[in-house]
Amino acid sequence: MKILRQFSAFASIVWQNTLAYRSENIVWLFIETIPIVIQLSLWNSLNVLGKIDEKTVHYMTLYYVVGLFIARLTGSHYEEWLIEHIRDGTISGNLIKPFSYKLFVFANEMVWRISGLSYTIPILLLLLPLFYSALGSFSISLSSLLLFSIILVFAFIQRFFVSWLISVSAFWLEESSVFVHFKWMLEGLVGGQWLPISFYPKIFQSIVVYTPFYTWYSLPIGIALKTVSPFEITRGVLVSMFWTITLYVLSNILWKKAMKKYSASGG
Amino acid sequence: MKKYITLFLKLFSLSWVGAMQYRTNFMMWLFIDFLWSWMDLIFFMTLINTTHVIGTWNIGQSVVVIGLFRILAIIVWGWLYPSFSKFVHDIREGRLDLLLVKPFETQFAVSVQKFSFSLLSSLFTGTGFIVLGFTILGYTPDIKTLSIFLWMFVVATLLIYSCYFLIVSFALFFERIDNIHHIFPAIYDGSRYPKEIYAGLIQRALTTVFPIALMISVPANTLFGNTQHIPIVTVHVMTILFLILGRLVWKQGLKKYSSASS
Repeated sequence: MKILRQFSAFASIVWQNTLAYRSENIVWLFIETIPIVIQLSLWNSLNVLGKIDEKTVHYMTLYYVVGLFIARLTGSHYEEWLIEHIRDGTISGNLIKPFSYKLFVFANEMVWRISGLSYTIPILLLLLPLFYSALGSFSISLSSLLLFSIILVFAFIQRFFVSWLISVSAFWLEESSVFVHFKWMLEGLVGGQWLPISFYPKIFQSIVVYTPFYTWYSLPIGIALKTVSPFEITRGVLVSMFWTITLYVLSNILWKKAMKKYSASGG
Repeated sequence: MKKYITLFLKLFSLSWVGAMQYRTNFMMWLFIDFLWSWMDLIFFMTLINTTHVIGTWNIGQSVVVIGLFRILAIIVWGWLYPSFSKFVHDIREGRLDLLLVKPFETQFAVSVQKFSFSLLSSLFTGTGFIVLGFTILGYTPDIKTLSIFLWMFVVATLLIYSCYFLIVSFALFFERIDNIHHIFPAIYDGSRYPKEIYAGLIQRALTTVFPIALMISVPANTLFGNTQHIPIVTVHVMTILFLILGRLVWKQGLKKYSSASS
């Protein structure tokens, strides 16, 4: 109960911040929208050139639109400032306060994602002419929508913990921010953010389905676009649950070790 | 002029000394950059394996463009991003005042305050990709083509600078917009595709309002022996226009800017 009260207090403060600093939110949205516009243009041009059929261009269009929605809703971008706070010691002030710092960051991320979504819907409407024709081939059942939402919740939690692990490593490593780049590469390549993993060799596909990155993009997109079988969904859900628990445990262990190691002086 | 060359060299060498202080860190970033180059190549090769062309470019031309994209990434990530991200942070923390009161042209001081050398591996991977692309094409550009390309490379660098500078100058108008320096690198990714992939209004916008579709495709096309006058002249005109526009926005921004600390 106490945790819920704290969480709602944090959320309310962060919500005010998201409104106060809405220009930043709009910039992030703009940054995440650009690759979609490029990809939609590319696939449409290939269709015009007759290199791919209408069905493929509709699939690719929906793939990137659903991908944008997922990225906006589940992404974690807090490593940069948390690493900076750890390095310059400004984190100390938060550690002596009578609340869980992790809960505070979690509430912060969650509220930024929800507020970000309110900007995503108008921009999707603006981009509608680019994917309007593909919408005709899109439909999702209630059960798939429910499954899609559950996978996204797991994805959000996993991405939060991965970012947490990267940030907390700054207690030991001088330049832990290099791991952020590894994360981006793996998200893009292994997760299927850049291209559907079906484009890659079979051996590669058979390995990536067991990574957390697969459950961040490829799996929810596959559920939404009905390109994954019931077996693949079951396996994906199990993999997602496994990684959520593993990352939670790892992030707790690392945080405890960091707190034992950390010392600060001055004000 | 001599004063500015000296200042540039001093800041450049300071950045180098800073990088060499943390050599392990420097090596790690070199490795990250090396990986990004390969990620770009893997992405394009996978894509082109399915589609066979990207706009009007075939596989060999696409590999050359990726090489050029990586080399110009040194300008974006090695020079402009470190300088402009520092500028945005300085605004937030009220440290910009220190820079503004110094006896130097402020635009110059802001533009060359920091460099990153971890992008050096892009010079090698980029050159390697260009050579690989030409090997696939079975074509070697002659001296005249190379000369035109080199000139266009300089103009493209100026165009990149002017567009990036114009965007970050808007930071002076906002109370807090910490991520404005991320916009251009995100847009820059779109420059590695030929302008023909964009349709109608988007193509018009990306060749005039915000000419990212010209930044790499025009210099690359000159390298393929395509020296049509209209795109070349357009790039020159756009570069001049954006340099002027950036300057005007900067001047207006400075008038509006009120420090966060004083």
